Amino acid sequence: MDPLLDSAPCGFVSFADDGTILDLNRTLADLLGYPRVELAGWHLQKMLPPGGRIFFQTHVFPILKMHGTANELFFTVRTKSGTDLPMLMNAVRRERDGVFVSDCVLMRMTQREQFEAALLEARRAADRGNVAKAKFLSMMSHDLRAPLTAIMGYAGLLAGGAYGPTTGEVQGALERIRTACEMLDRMIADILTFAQIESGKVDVRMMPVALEEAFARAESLVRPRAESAQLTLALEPSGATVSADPDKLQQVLLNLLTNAIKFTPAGGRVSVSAETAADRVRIHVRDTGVGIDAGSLERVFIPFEQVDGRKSDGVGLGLAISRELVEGMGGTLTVESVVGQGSVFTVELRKS
Amino acid sequence: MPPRCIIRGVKNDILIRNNVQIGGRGTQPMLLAHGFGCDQNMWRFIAPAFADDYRLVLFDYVGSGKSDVTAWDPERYSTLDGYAQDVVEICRALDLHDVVFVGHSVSSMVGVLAAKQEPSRFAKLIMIGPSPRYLNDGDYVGGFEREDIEGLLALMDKNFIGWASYLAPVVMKNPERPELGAELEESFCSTDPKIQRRFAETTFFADNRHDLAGVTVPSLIMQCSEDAIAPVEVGNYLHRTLPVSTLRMLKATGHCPHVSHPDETIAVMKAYLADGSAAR
Repeated sequence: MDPLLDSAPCGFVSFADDGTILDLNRTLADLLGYPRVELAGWHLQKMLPPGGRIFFQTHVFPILKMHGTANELFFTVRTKSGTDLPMLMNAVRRERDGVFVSDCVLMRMTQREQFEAALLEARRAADRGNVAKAKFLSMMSHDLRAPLTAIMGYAGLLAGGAYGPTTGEVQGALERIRTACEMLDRMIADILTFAQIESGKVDVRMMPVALEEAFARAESLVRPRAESAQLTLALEPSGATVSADPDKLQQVLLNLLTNAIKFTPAGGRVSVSAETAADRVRIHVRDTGVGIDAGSLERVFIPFEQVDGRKSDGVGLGLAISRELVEGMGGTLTVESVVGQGSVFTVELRKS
Repeated sequence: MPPRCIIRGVKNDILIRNNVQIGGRGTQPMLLAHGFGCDQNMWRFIAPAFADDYRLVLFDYVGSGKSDVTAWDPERYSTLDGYAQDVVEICRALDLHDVVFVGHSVSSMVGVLAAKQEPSRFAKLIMIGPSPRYLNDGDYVGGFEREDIEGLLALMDKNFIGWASYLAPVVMKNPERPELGAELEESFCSTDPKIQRRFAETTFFADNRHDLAGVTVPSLIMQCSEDAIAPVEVGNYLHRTLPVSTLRMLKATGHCPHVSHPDETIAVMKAYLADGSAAR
């Protein structure tokens, strides 16, 4: 072997398709703790821990045979004394003197391996934390709903005179209880949806959805709110059909429209329009409201975040949920805004 | 972060789910079931040798190759029975009878389970590097201890779960460089890393020894010499336990003779298939 390769600061080994070691450099032999003569003619398996043998047979060898190269594979070799050394491996399989040989370079990566392990563990801990959070949220929302239903029910009974006649003042108080309960109920519904998305339990049933119908349904639900806020609500007719889950699309449109109404001062305008480009359809929800400054634009989609100047009565989940739902339908939800002039939220979906 | 909603209602047809590919010019079906770690591409070195005489049916397990990963169901695939159910469903969908089932590695036991469920559909089981139990257990030599398998899972984590699965979706979302994602996917025999890890657990912690006695379909056990995954003791155990079985020792070493030694693999399979007498 070339003296330079023999003493290079990395391991080098050539092996045949059946795993027989044809040659290896002194660096690797020293690392493994065997005299080199002892290793040549061995099966490569013998320098691997048992799990590594399986990995070699089920992954490394097939990749080499099919692709001819295997790059940046993490691997461990077992030394004569039984210590496992983490290595990074690059290998190439080629024909030499009429037979196929795999040449393989091994670099030690003890410290890096520890960093990677720490990163992976952190990622797993974060995933576990997320699952725990989703579980907690879902349990909590169920538990909150039961007493809330009772409050709403009894307030309704009181208002209806089930416990005797009530004065106008009491009726006013009951109306305020009812409004507060409804708001709380919407928040709980948001938290539940969010928890379901987090735990991957939301089913999306894709089908062609005519925007004309979707817009009409959304309009009928938000028009009273727009009118009481003294806003102009304009839904431009669209003949487009998108591929979406009708209920989820409805939820997204409602969220966007409710938001637009909430953040637009009296006398402003909220509009919905659609445009088709190639195989995509873009639905714009525009308002002439307070707007969002450039630095906060992406934060509006982060769960539980409330951007300054956009304090609302919600928990800050509406847009996070909307984006997850749109992405679940294979689309995107983006926003553009100018402070003091208004915002445009755009839902892009596949044309059906 | 990929979308976390589960898309349903898309074509979930069995043949699409398992990316079933049909070829060959014969009539008797030969169903080729790949093992853990790769996909139906593994058959490309031996399948052409059977194309004249058989109707070749190749497929990918859910989570491997070009299967429909949205069909992944952790509960269904937590045991090999779920995979066997896929095989039975493919047979039903194509109305296959008199099937020569060829299974590599873990798929040998998938074949055993499928043949137990619907024995009338299967003519022969050909098992390449089979093992009913990879872990040692008392007198039984499976070849591995639990910590060995944990070592494998750690390697998979470091190679695929860690980087490809957490980073690949981000890369693939990068519209300026879509080739990055494709390359990652292609270079690992196209498997879904998270599903593969579960497949590894299902495979290497499985114990199907008690399923062997009830197999009525004749079987061929192809045992590699110096198999790093299924030692010779396992081949002998299978031969003793499977009622109508033939054991053939291959000169081939390693665990993938159909990839490393296709000629010998083809010859042994053809000899067995030509031999009318079922056992011995």
